[in-house]
Amino acid sequence: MNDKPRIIFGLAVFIVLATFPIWYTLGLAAYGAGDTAAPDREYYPDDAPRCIEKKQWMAANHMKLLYGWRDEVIRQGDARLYESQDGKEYVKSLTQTCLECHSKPEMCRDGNTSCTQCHDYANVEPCCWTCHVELKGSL
Amino acid sequence: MDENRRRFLKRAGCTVLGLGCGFPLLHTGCSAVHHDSDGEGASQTQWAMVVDIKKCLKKEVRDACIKACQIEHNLPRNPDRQKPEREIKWIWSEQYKYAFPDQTHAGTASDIEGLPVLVMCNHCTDPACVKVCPTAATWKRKQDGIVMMDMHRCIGCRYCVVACPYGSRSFNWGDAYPDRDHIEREVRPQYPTRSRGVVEKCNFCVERIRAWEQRIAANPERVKDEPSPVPACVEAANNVPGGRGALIFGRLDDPDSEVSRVLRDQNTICRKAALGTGPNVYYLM
Repeated sequence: MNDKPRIIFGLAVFIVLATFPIWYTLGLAAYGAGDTAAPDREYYPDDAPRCIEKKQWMAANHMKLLYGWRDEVIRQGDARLYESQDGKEYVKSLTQTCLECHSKPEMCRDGNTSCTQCHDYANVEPCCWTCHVELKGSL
Repeated sequence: MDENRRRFLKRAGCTVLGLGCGFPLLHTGCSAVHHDSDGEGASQTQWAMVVDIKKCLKKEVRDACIKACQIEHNLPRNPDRQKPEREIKWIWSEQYKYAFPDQTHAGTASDIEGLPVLVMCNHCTDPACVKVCPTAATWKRKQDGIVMMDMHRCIGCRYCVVACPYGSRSFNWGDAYPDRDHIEREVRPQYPTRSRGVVEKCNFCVERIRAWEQRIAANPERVKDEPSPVPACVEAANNVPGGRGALIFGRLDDPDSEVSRVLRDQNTICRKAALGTGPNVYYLM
């Protein structure tokens, strides 16, 4: 019995299935194709008012910061103000500090908050919104 | 003596095993029995509430308190959520015979039995819910005695709902606000909502206490001028004509606080006091 055709066929099927995530999303808008591509980085120009820390630091570390705040304020009862690297002080609260601005209409685009814009593109779905109120800027 | 190596090794192994298991068990047993002074019950401050049942007989007072809490904390108010099995309540009105079953007897007059009493989480000194929580999603704060809820950690096992003798805890069987796209029409954005699958209860408006602590920390010299924090229900009761004093909130460790004075000067009762949970909500008949 010559198995070569069967093997090659099986291998081809496997390769198609294994690379499914790559070829399936090629044309889809949600994954960056077409007009709805990566969030507009000019949206946060480098000279935008700095909040908490610098833009690059925040993009990399905002989740760590938020988890730290959550544990300190709720579990440890430490409600002292957070001191940023440039000496300003902030209340450690997602609702009162961050969402005060990041839910405002001018920070939203197409009904999405600034959080959703980046998180949709990065395909990282944070579970914050099951409880915390994400204003879509459309009252 | 006729000792052989095998028997010696067996006995030595058993001894090591026994000590290894035994010491931790002994330690746990001792700490369970021994109530040290800075253990579960004692905290530096204890926030407490006094409820004046007579003043709360006025329906406007009770309704104002309940409504204020619902608005402040985004409790669902639609009729579907008022069904007993779906109800989310932090403060509510209970009949006297159900609030104080140990004070009710065959001779209790029926109009006393049916008296409406405002009840809420008692923030017990020795809370049953804290004891049973498998994830420490609820605990008693050392600094001020409030029994806290951490919704992030709650797994929704509802053991605390079973354990609480007062029925203070409500479980979210469903999502209170499923329409997240238009949620700002229904909620107060300064406070989160709760997701499906977590337990919630009155928290003595700990967010207001936290803000008060922050103001004091920012201006320590003005601590005398800063008014004591007041939960939403107490504030609402004070704003109803004739409702001032229906709910009194304050610190037990401060002998000059209104709560301490009331407890000293008048007789108060507690819900199910014989259970030993040490509730910190006191009722003036």
